[in-house]
Amino acid sequence: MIKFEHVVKDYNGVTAVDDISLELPAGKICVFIGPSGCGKTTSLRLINRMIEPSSGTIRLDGTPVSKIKAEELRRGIGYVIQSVGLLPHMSVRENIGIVPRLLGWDKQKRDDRADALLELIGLAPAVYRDKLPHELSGGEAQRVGVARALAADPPVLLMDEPFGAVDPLGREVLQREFLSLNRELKKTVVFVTHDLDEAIRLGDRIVLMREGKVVQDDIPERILGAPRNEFVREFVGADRALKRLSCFTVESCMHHAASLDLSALEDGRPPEGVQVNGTGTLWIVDAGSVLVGMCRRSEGKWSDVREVRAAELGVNTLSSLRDALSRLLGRGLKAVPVLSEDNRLIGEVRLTDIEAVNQSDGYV
Amino acid sequence: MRLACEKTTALGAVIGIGALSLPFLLMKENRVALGVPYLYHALPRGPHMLLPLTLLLVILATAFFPERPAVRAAKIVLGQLYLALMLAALSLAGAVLVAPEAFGRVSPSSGFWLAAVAAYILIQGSLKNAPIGYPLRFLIGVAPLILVVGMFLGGWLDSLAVVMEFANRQDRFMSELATHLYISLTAVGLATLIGVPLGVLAWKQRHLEKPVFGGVNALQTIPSLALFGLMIAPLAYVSRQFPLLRELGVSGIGNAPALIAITLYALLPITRNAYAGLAAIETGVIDSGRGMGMTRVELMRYVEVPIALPIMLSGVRVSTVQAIGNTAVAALIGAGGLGAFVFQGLGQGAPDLIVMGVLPIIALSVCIDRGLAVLISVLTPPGRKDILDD
Repeated sequence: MIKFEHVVKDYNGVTAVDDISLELPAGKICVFIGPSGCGKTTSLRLINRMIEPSSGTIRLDGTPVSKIKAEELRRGIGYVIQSVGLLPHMSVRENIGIVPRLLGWDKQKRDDRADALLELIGLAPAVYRDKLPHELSGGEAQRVGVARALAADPPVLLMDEPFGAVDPLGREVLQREFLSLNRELKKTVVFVTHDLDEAIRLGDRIVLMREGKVVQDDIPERILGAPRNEFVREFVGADRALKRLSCFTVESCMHHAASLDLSALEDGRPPEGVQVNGTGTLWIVDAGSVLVGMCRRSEGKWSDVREVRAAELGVNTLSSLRDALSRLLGRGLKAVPVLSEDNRLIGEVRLTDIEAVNQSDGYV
Repeated sequence: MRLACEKTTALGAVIGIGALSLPFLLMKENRVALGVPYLYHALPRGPHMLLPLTLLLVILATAFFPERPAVRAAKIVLGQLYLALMLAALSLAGAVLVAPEAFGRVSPSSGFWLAAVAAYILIQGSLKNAPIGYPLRFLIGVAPLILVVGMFLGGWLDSLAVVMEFANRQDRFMSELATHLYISLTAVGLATLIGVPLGVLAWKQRHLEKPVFGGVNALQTIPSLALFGLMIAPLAYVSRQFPLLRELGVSGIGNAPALIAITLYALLPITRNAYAGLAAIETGVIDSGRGMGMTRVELMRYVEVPIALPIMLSGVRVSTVQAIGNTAVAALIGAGGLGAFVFQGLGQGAPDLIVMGVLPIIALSVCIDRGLAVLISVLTPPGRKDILDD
C-alpha cells in the first residue's frame, strides 16, 4: 500500500503538488489524471524518489520512502514511461534483464526470467529475445517496457503515460492486455494519463487532480456519475453518461435470451406458441447453440428469419455496456446477444437494462 | 542475355590496362636532372608486359562473374598480386638502370602512379560489401603497405630516388618523424582535454551551446597558414615578457605556436562529437535508467559510455588525421616534422625529396585512421553498429 501524507512539492515558488494525502490500496490500479501541469506526473515520481518532496511523507507499506536508499527503492518498483527508454545498444533480453543485473542475478537466471516475461506479454522469446529496440514496433517496444518493469517481480508498478505514444488501435490492445495481465499479477499500479477513456478502462480508482490538488478521488463510476464539482463535470465532459457505461460490463446486467433451435423452424418461421420476452426478439441457434439467425415478433406476427454473423452482432461478457449500446443503436435492435468465445448464445443485453443502469443511483 | 558487371573492379582493371601505355618510370642522372621516361614494355628487366596485361584481363573477367565467395577471394588475391607485380617491375628495372651511373636514380612516373591508383581501386573494390570481419579486413587493407615497407627494408627499392633521398637523411628522418608525431598527438591530446569538457558543457548548459560552437567553428575557418602567422607576434611578445616561458621553449616560431594552432584546429571535431555523443542518448533512456535504480556510476557504465564513447572517439579520429596533415604545414614556422622535407624539396627543386616527406605523412594518416577505426568498432556495442561509417 502507498500512502501520501500531506505531500508538498515546490519548484522555486511554484507549487506542483499541494498538500496531497492519499491512500492507494495494494493490488489495485490507481489512475492519476488531470490537465497538464496538474501535478500527476510529479506525484508519481515522488513515489520512487525521482523527485524529492518539499515536505510531507510517502509511505510504502508503512515505511517512509525517504528512509530507503533511492537506488534500492527504485529497484523494487517497476517503472514504465511513455518513451519506453529501452537501451538502444542492448538486445530485448538484456533490456529486460537490467534490474536483475543491478540486483546481481547470474546470467542464466536473468535470461530465463526474460524469456518467461516475453512469453507472458505475448512476444515469442525465440523471435524477440535477440532483437534490438530499433527493430521493434511502438507497441512491441512498449510491451517490452512493461516486461522490463516486471523483471524483478516488484510489488508496485509506476506507469507514466505508458501507452501515450502508441496509435489508438494499438493502445486499446495494450490496455486490454495489461488489464488481464494485472488481474493475474495483482500488482499495485500507479498509472498516469490524461486520457479519460484510458483511465475509465483501466482504473480501479481514479484520482482527478488540478493545480497540484486532488479534486476527486473515487471509483470511475462515481467520478462520472457523481462529479464533485463543476471542474470534474467539465473534465469528464458532456458525454459522461456514455463514458460511464464503459465502467460496466455486459455481465452485470445480462438476461436470459429466448432462443430456438434451427431444426424447429417450420417453413422458415418459428412455430406458433413459441414464447418471446418483452423485446420480441427470438435468437435462432444451431445444434451446437451457435447463433446463426434471429427473428422478431411484433403485432402478433413473426418476421422472416434473418441470418446473422454472430461475431459482428454479439458482445461477450467482458464487453462494456457502451459497446453493447453502440451495437444496439447501430443495428436498430432492442437487444444484443451475449456470446461465448465460440459464438454460443449465453444471454442478451436489452436497451431497457442500459437505461436502467444509466439512471441507477450515483448518477446526478 | 545481359551481363551483370561489377563496376568498381571493371574500372580498376581498365585503368590498370591504360596505365601500361604511360611512362612507367623516369631515369635521372642526378637528383635535380630531368628524367628520361621509360614505357613499361621498354623496361630493361622485370615481368614481361604480357604478364600484367593477362592479369588485368582476368580481373576484368571476374567483374562479370556473379559474386560467389570464390570470385570474391580471387578478386582480393589478384588485386594484391597486381600491385606486387608493378612494384617488382619498378624494383627490377630500376636496379638495372641505375647500375652504370654514379648518381643515377629512378622515379616512378605517371604509368606507375596510375597503376597504384588502379591497385587501390581493385583492393578497396574487392573489400566492398565483402562479408569479412574486422581483423582480416584490416590486414587485407594494410597488406600493400606491409609489402612496400618490406621491399624497402630488404633493399629492393634502393634504386629509387626517394629512397636515396631517405638514405642521405636517415637520422634526421627519424627525429622529424618523432617531432611530427609528438606535435600532432600532443595537439590532439590537448584538444581532447579541452574539447570533451567543452562539448559536455555545451550539452549540459544549453545557453552556452551557441557561444561554444560559434567559437570553435570560427577557429576552423581561419586558414592554417594564417593561424600560424597570427601566433607568431603574441607568442614572441609573451616569450620576451616571461623569461621562464622562454626557458621552456616558448617563442614566436617553433613548437609552441604550432602546438597551439593545431590544438585549436583539432577542437571542432572533438567538441562537436562530444556533444553529439551525449545528444545521441535519449532523455527517456536516462530517465528509465535512473528509474530502474541505476547509481550514477552504473548509469555511466551501462548507458552513457556505451552510447556516447564511440561517437566521441570518431571526433578524435577525424581530429587526429587532420592534425597530422596540419603538422606538415607547421614546418613553415620552424616547428619541424615531416613537412620540413617537403619545404626543403620545394626549395631545392628536388621533387623526390618532396615525395619522401609526403609518403610517410600519408602512411601515418592512413595507419592511425584505420587503427582508430578498429578501436571504435570494437568499442561500439552491437546495437549501435549503424553509427559506424566504415
